Amino acid sequence: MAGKRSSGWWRARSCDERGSTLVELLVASAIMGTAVVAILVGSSATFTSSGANRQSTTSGIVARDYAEALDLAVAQGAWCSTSYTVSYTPPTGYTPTATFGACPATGPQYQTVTITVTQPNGSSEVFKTVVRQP
Amino acid sequence: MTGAVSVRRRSPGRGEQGSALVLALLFLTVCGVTIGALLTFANASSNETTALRLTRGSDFDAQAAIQVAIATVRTGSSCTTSVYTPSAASLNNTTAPVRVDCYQLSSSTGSSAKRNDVFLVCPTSVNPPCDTNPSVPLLQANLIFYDTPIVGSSIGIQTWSSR
Repeated sequence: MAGKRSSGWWRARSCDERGSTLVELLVASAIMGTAVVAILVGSSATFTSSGANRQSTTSGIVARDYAEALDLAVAQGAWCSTSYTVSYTPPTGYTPTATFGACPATGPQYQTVTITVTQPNGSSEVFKTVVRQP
Repeated sequence: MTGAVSVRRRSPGRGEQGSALVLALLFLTVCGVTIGALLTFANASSNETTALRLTRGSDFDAQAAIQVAIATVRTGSSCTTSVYTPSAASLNNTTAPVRVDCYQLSSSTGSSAKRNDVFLVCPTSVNPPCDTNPSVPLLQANLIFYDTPIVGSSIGIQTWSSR
């Protein structure tokens, strides 16, 4: 009697355990898969965003350096040109360019300048500034 | 004997189920914290970059505004408060418009005519005249305009300090 009860109990328990283990495994796999995918997507977004932010920050520095070099070029060259010879070597992958506004015929002599820095990822940062007659 | 076996078998079963739950909760917590940390980092990085871009924009605006103000006063215009206020269209950072105030330290006429002026770039939110306290103006410059042989023939920069 005791042996039968014991045997029956074991059989039932065993079946339950096998069944729930399979379901548990599937659920656990799904949860773990979702969590791992979420972490990977989060990591990827973080790295992408961090890289883009770094390039954006570097572009700002390049623009500032270029503006300083431009000031020097204006001081050394002929006033009111549409292109000054700027002596500046940007970091690899960054390309600064400048477009100049018209020179006033009379009155205060200054020129508006738009500096555009193209980043390695293709996007660009734009800064507006002014150079004046030395 | 049977009862003893039954008790011995049930105990580990309960214990395992408990640890599975704890492990599952621990795993989910770790995942949640990791994702949270990553997103917080990405968000902070983006916010800082935006703030830096705005600050750099203001720096360019201050530089540009003071150059225009200097060019204006150089030609003989009065050195006054609000000597130049750039238009919104010309600003890099439109959220922080700036104004240039000028005040004269000294001037002389004659064969060695010159003017010693101080230019201060302040946010328009600060009432004129802009305070010379270094923590207030974005940019401060002390210049001498040499007015011989013609007005504003040359400029000497005495100081040029950015906040």
